[in-house]
Amino acid sequence: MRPMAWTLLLLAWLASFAGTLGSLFFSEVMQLQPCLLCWYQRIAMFPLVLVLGIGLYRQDSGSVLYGLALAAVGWAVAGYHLLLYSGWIPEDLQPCSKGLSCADVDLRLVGFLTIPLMSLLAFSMIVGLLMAAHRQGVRA
Amino acid sequence: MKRQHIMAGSAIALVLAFVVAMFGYSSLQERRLVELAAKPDSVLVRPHSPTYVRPR
Repeated sequence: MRPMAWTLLLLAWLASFAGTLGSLFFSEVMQLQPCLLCWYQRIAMFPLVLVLGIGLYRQDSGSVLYGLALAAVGWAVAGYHLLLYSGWIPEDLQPCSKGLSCADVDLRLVGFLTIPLMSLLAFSMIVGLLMAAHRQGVRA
Repeated sequence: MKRQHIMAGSAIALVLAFVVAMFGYSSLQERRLVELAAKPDSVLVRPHSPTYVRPR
């Protein structure tokens, strides 16, 4: 694996690791219960740590594509969640009608940074880094 | 430096940051609760109940 592709994969892995730890911090330390859409995003984020981590350790460029598929799914769910949160999508369409609401504002860091926005930023960063790593791998 | 060492070092740094944040948050919450309980006019004190604090 080329050094540049490995560095980009390392950054994507660190972003997914930080996202996973941040998500666990909100639920286990701050006791904020995750909603259904948050769980779907966690399903995409948590395995990224293992998939990208194993790929990094073994220097396997194939892990970039597997990670990209997971991150793209998480990015789509995070985008949907943010639109729902901002009121662009009617509440009737949300899958969180039972139990916890997906549109409740639980936390707002620095005045504007909500949990769905942080999730979308993290997935966007991971997708961007993995696409760049894939391009580097194709050139090699 | 070997690639595996960079990977392990950054993972340890992230986990350490998580642990520090966890303890920091817990102590902050504890301090907030202590401050709330120490307030004589807090929601925990009813006007008709005997308290250790002299009424204003």
